[in-house]
Amino acid sequence: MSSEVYGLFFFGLLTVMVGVYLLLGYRNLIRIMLGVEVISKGTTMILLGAGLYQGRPDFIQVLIVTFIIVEAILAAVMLGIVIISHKIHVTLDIRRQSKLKG
Amino acid sequence: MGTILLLLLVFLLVLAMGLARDLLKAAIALALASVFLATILFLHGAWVAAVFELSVCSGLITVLFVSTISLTKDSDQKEEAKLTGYLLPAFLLFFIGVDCLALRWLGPFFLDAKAMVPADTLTGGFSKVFWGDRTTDVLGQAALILSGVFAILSLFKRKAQHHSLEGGKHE
Amino acid sequence: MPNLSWFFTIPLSAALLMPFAAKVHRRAVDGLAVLAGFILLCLSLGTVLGGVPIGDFTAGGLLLRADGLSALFLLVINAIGFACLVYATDYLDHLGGRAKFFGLFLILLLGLNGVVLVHDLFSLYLYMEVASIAAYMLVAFTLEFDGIESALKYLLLSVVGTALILIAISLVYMRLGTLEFTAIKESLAQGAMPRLFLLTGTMFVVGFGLKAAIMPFHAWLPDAHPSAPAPVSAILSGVVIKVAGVYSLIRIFLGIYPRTPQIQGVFIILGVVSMACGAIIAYYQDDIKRMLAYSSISQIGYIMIGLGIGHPLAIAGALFHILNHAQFKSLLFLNSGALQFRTGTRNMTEMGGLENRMPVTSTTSVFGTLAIAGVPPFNGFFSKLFIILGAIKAGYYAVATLAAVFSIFTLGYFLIIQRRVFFGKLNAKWKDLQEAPLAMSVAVILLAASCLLTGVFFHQILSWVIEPAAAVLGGK
Repeated sequence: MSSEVYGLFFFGLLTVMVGVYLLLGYRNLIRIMLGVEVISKGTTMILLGAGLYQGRPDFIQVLIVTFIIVEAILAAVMLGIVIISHKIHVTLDIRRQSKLKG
Repeated sequence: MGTILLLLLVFLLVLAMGLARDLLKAAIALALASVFLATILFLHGAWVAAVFELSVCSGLITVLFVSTISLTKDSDQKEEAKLTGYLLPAFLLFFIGVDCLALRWLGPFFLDAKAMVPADTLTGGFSKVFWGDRTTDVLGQAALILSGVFAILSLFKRKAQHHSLEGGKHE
Repeated sequence: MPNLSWFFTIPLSAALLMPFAAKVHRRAVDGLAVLAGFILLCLSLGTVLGGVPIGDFTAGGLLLRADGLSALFLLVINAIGFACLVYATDYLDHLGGRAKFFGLFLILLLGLNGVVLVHDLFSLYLYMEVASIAAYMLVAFTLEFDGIESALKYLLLSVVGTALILIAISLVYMRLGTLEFTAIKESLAQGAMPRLFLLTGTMFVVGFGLKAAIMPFHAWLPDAHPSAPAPVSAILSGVVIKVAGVYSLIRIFLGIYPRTPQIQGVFIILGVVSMACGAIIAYYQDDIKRMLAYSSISQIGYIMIGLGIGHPLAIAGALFHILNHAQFKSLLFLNSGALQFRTGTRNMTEMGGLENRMPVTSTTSVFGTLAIAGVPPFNGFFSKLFIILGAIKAGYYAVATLAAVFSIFTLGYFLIIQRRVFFGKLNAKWKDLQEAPLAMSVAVILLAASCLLTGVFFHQILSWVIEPAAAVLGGK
């Protein structure tokens, strides 16, 4: 059991980091959104790890389900905005859209 | 042990997503990763979460991504930033390093994982906890879904009545 | 008998009814929104003045808790929310989709109310997400280039923050087996866990810092606030960043985790950086809303300083400043929206001499300027004073001096704005300009009046609102 918790945390954290990398490193909006999804996967793994450690799969799976629902709605809204953004100026390149400064 | 293998699979798929040249392949990799993650959830007794992960993540979200990809196919997307792809292995090593350090630092926490609370959790347990203990969250999710509906509607179904606030160009 | 669940059911029902109201009549939508806002306002006043019971509420399986701190924030959320809803009834004439806008706005209020009424970390996260998702869409609502871009930027940074917060929540659960506030507090009181604090503490600070736009996590704010429709900018700057970000930080670091010098130091440093850089960058802006956005970053800095210092006077000042900043910042944003509504521009160099053409906007802006710069008897003076006094009493003389200096600097650049926009010679372009429409004027007049009244009656406000909040944190 311990090793699995360890594994979940290890890979979960790693996945989150890769997700952030994808989010920051790519220019294509859709790849950036994929990065967001990757972050979600990693977070799910970490949540599961925490729940298993405490030995309460029932509690943690409720949290995970809630999290998945939130992520689904977020993905829908995100992708909706991406589609509209595409309609406005046809490019999905986020660097082209740097009219706004930090 | 099976879990570790599955985790590795998930992770490899995630990497595949980062390196895939074709967006569609990346989306499929995401879907497959979700399937494996759902299996992991199932193996550890989180049935309901596994079902949600399958239907929502590898199902719904993949469909959303594929639709978006096909709807935006005619974007003048220049060739993807190859540099990011090449740098990924290097960063990956860095991430693994950080990860190991972090977990070693947290080490004492992992020593005594508690035993799993037995069985009735696998069946009626979810409903009781979800609807009973966490009713507040259910209310929040209802509001969330409503907000998602409004958001999608306001993105795609607006009456033609909007003209720019700025009379001409500003700044 | 009204109770805490009404903070949820009222906005939810109103939002659900929106599509039907839209079929009835355009103005029915407005009426429904304003009515819901008004009820929420009365409810929040009820938590402060009595009439709505505070404490635990557990009917129907809901687990809500309102204490002094929640009451303060409920007031902020629903009062500003009401003003923005009133304002929006006229402002939305330029945009379509009124029912959807109000629906999203009401859900935003629901989410914010939820954040301050739950007593469990995961529910906090959930309601924060409810508010955030509504906010992303509201920022993008104009469907124009600026709005869409800013919404995406906001979304991306916010998601990273959320991930950090969830990971921290997982760690807390893993170690303590519970996510409920008082349970965590009790577990932690039994034994120090420095590693847990350090790790989860850092993640919470970064995660919620991203939501609160504290420097250096502020990158999304200067784009999001200008591009959003004015009532959205107002509620974002005045309320959302404080509720999603600052409230959570307060609840966790001053209410649950034991106070350590490290955390206080971190708060103070982040606060000083935000206060200084925000003010300086604001000075160089031409776009009025962008300037206001940077000014918000600066004012949040003051609040963080007050919280970090830890002296009861400083904490009271910080809490009071939360209330005050919400009022005057939303006032200023709504006025900038009125300017944009009539002139079609946000660029201050193109304006000039508008005081005669738009007397209401001009006068209320003066109120707002005096309030934010900390001129008595307006509210800003007292809150900043308490923070500075608290700093002095706790021995942070350098911080106090900086705070005072930047206060004067703030006064300086806001007066420059007033002069550029309202005083001086009337730019010929605007000679036929009209004042802002009725609803918009009513909203800003209400806010301006409250800035003055909150200042004049600061003593009552302190005892009714601020002290109960500070008491929750173990203050004076």
